[in-house]
Amino acid sequence: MIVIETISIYKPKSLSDALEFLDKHAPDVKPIAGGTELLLLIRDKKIKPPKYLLDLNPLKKTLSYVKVEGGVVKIGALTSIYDLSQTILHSDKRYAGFVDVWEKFGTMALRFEATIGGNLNAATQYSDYITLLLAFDANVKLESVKGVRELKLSEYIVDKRKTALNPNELLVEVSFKEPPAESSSSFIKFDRREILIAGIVTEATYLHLEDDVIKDVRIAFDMVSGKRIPARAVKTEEFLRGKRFSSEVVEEAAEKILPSEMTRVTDWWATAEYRLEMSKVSLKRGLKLAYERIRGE
Amino acid sequence: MSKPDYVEIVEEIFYKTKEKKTEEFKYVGKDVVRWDAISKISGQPVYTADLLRFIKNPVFVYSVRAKYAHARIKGLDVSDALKYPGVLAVLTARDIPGINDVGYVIPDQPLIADRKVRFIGDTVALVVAESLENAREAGELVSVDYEPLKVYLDPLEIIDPETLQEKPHELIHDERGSDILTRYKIRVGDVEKAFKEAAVVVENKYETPFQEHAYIEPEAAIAIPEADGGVTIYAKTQCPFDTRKAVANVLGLPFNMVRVIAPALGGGFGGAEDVGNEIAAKAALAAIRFKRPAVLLHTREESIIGHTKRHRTISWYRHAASRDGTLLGVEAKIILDKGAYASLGPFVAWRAVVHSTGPYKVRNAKVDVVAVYTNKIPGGAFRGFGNPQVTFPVERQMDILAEELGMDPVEFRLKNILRNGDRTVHGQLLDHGVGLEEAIKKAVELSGWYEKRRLYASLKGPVRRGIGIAIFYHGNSIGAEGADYSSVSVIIQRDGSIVFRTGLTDMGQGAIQGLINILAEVLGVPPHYIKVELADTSATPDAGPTVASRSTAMGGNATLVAAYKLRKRLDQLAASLLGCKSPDDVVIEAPKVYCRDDPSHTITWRELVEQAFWKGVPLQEFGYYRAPPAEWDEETGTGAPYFTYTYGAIVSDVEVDLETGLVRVKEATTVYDIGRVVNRTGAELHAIGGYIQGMGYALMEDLYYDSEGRLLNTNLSTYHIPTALDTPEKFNVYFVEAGYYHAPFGAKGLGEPSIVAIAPSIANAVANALRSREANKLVSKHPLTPDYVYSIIKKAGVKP
Amino acid sequence: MVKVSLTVNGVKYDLDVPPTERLLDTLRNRLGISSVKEGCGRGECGSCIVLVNGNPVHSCLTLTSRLDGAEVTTLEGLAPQGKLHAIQVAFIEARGVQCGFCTPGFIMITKALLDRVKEPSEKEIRRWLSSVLCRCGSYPLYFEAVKRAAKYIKEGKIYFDEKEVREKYHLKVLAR
Ligand SMILES: Cc1cc2nc3c(=O)[nH]c(=O)nc-3n(C[C@H](O)[C@H](O)[C@H](O)COP(=O)(O)OP(=O)(O)OC[C@H]3O[C@@H](n4cnc5c(N)ncnc54)[C@H](O)[C@@H]3O)c2cc1C
Ligand code: FES
Ligand code: FES
Repeated sequence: MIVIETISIYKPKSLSDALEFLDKHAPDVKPIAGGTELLLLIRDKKIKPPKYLLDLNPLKKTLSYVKVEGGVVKIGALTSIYDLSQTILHSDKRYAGFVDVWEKFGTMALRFEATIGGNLNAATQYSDYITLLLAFDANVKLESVKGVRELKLSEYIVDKRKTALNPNELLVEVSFKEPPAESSSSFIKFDRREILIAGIVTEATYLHLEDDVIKDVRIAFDMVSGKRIPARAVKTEEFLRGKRFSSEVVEEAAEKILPSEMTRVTDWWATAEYRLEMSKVSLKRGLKLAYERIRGE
Repeated sequence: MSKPDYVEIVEEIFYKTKEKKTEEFKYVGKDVVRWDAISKISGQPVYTADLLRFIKNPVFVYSVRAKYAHARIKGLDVSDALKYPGVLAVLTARDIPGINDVGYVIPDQPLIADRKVRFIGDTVALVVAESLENAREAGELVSVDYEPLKVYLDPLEIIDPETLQEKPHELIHDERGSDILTRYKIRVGDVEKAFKEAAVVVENKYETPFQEHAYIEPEAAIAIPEADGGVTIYAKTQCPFDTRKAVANVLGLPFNMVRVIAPALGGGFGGAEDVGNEIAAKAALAAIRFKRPAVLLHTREESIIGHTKRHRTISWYRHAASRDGTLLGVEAKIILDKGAYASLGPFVAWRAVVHSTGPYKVRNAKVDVVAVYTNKIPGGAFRGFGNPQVTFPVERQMDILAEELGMDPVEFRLKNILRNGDRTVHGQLLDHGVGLEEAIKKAVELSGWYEKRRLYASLKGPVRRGIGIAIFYHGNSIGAEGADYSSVSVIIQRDGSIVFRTGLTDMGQGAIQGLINILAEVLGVPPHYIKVELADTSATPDAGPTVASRSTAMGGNATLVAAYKLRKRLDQLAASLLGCKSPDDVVIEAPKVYCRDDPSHTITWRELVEQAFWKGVPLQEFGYYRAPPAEWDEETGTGAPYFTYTYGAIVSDVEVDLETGLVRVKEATTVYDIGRVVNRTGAELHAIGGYIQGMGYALMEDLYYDSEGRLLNTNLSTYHIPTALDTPEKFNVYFVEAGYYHAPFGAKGLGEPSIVAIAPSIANAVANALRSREANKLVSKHPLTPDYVYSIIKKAGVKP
Repeated sequence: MVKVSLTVNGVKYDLDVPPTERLLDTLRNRLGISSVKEGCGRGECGSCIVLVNGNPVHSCLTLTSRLDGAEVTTLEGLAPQGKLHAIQVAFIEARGVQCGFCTPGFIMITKALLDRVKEPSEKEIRRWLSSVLCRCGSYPLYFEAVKRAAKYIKEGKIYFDEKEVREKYHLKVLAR
């Protein structure tokens, strides 16, 4: 006899209730936030259907927020992409990269459902907020019945669709140090059409200047080498750090340094060569954009 | 031999109104709100799948598709699937009572594969279950024993491009003994001599991609068994009469036992032809077998894998011109990537050969078109039907020639285009309305061509602008493809309201609105008196297929004929009732009817109808029109392939990012000669909508297969079509009205023409933006994806 | 099965649904609401967009079991019985309807937009309308419809009598 597996859904009363449920049923539970990633994975049979879905919507009240506390910017995991746009992240030039991601994210309607936590946990090359938040050197806060732990986002994203999340944990917050006044950020994404795109390449820049000297810089791409997950272009960052910002320096970083640490892949959508060239162009454009934003141009 | 009365009627009306300006008509050429606009904005159930809510106790049908693109079926085991909960049956080829074939033009395509599978969309079994989910899940359990065969994805593996001879290979259609589907040719004049005498010769290889229709409504069919053993089917189909034939064949029933109704279609564009037949036949099989309504709904993925596409082409073109810019000759070889089945391929190939030299005076031509089977999703009908695939290379060639000759592309075209009194390459005399020159001049004016050509040439920096033109002609209706007739019926009800029936369907294009406008104009009643019935094989007259931009001209003629005959009778009656001098003096301006010289003395339309009823004046009329037979000589490619042509000129204004290769269209100008604008809203929506669809074809749309023939982009996030954000900032739309005497008020079609020259106009604009002679030649295929354009920029050394 | 109580277009329903039933299926198959269309089932085409508690969502990616207590609005519920909403009228006047399969999605996203931005710029209109795909290519006319709708709403003309609309527009000549 063939048994049809059905999925049950659990609506927690509180965060601790959710964590207890997780602890009890892990690994047979999948938390569901916006569902815009998870439901498609199930539909396309890319993952085995879980026994339980843990509905995170009831936790929106506690886990949807953007706040700046003690020099740290904190984003609740259940904050929707649309809600992000109603916060300081969209009005302060330092976070301009958030506006860039938003502009090219899914479609307008999708932004109401998709959450930032879901985006980070989707853990693919196309999770744009991972790329962006890597440039902000973000941390993730994970909670289980046992307590809370913090991890660097770069350590959290292990591989394609693989994170350091334990089956009994929830991601509750992503945070990063409040950037200094003389800083800004940018995000570059383009494709054959304007929207509803994966991006031929995506790139995020965080730039901090002190009188035109690059005090700090962080650069992330949808992929840098090997693994199909976003990562930082560390060598390029190192090269840029401490240098005076100029088009020559940017040119050298893009043309000489970046290719030395980047491996791109060819697939049916675009060739590796083209993707590498576009990574260079994106780096240049991203840096320039962040620079102009700092300078108020 | 005297002319049939319907031809005389159409001519009479044409000549009577020839000089009348379109603004002076009451309904023809006006913005009449579509008959279905209000039901659509209020979300009424008008599409096939919506009707499910009225169906009780249905079964669901799911198609199990091939796991290989080319394989022999050695065995099939459905026992596991049958055990799955809710499964009623798994139907295979053996369960087909009639003929297991749904080939559109030739019988090469089984409904359910029995011996072989030839592409990944081939159906190997149908699961019938109590729910769609159950049917789908059970489908996974159908196990087929395949013997994989070599998969052919490139037609050049099968045909030698030099000799155009078939290479030895493992046949896809072994039963036919050849994988060459059809060949067409043109042999006119002395091409060798032309090339010998030429001052300039331009030669290039071109490629155009597959295109997916991506109508937003996926296919759906609902079949309801009838008590008499017949079946009624609601289905997404463009051509209900063809669907009926296919279903009747599969079921082994006479035509009159199969009734096909086409509800509103959420887009068709040519795609809802073959697949409409297939889904209807599948649902009907289950309905007949289980005596329950049977429902088939495609997901987006099934839709993309399961219906035909615009054919991909590879072509080689050679053009010869004299120093003064006169075209001397054309030589071309065009290979159509057919995919697995013929579908409408033979007709597409024929339309391609007919249009293969463009709307130019060409005296010497040698053209070969060959359609070659491969293991891909079959090519079939798609708006334009073979013409976009040849217009792209021709119009690219024209721009390259113009550059080689140092001429402006517009001047060069004006020197060579077809005008009234000219003969086409096939020797057909164009003895009426050829509005091409006017269209070009208008497009040039509206787009600011000369100023922009100058201005853009001087722009600096990494973001360039370019402006390009492309022109075309497009034969109306089906020409020598088959019997070209159309019919409608008009029934005036006793309260004066009118029922209008035709077998032409509406897939969204709105051509029916043109017919309503014509009917209203001739009868003298406001359009809202008229109710349009759904195309229904048991209730509406067969009007031929809804394809080939034939609805307005062919359906319009039939409507005109019916309306004219009714009007004559009513005029006669009204003249006697009112005492007018002659029936010609009767004015019908419903609800008022009066004599021209005495507008104060009126009767009402309803009274007139009531009188007709009592006096035995028939209030129903059947309108029929048959097009003059087309002529075509297979050996030379000469004759008169179509009775008339739509002409047009498109100007695209683009931005090219030299650092990324990204192209965006900023402004679009479209000018079409459609003889007479009968349905203004519809015409404008085609000018705009056709452009946007053509822009997708030019810039982003293509299908990608892995080496085993599995399609990689099966959804709308990986198959890119233009979004609201891709829409050009500005559209300039204009219509030239060079009337055709065998069409209603002179009107010609615009359904297909509206996409034909978009891609080449964009490609020409991109080439213009690159400002390099070498780059000009490298722009030889589309979609013009950023990486492709970037590669041209690098190869040609274009610098910001 | 999950018990959910849901208000759809002002009517309260107590439903018993499988946990993974999509809102799209609940609306179409259980409640007989036909304006909500399935064009892709994967959040791409936007023809299934409805408002949930005022927010536009893809009903193909929404599970009904999660919506206990929610308010759902579909095209059918934009205006009271016998009325049409200004947005619907604007969509008639702008002449953009072709096959119409995308139209409900466009009207719903327009509602979400105009609920938030009274006078949207061309850029904003395009940004919001990019949530719905139209293969017939009516986009520019739909942009026009949004502008007209905004104007009506600004003038306080929100509901129109359906019968009057029919009389005024059904197969009538529109003035340019
Ligand atoms: C049409 C379309 C377009 C898209 N475009 C983009 C785009 O442009 N850019 C982009 O980055 N993404 C895009 N996406 C992907 C997706 O929408 C995003 O990744 C989105 O942010 C996921 O959020 P969600 O809340 O819907 O996640 P869900 O689907 O709810 O969850 C995703 C995964 O994360 C897990 N999860 C969710 N929340 C938590 C939590 N708090 N703790 C632990 N695990 C959790 C889930 O179990 C699941 O495995 C697109 C998706 C679609 C359908
Ligand atoms: S059906 Fe939901 S977005 Fe297409
Ligand atoms: S009108 Fe057909 S998809 Fe928009």
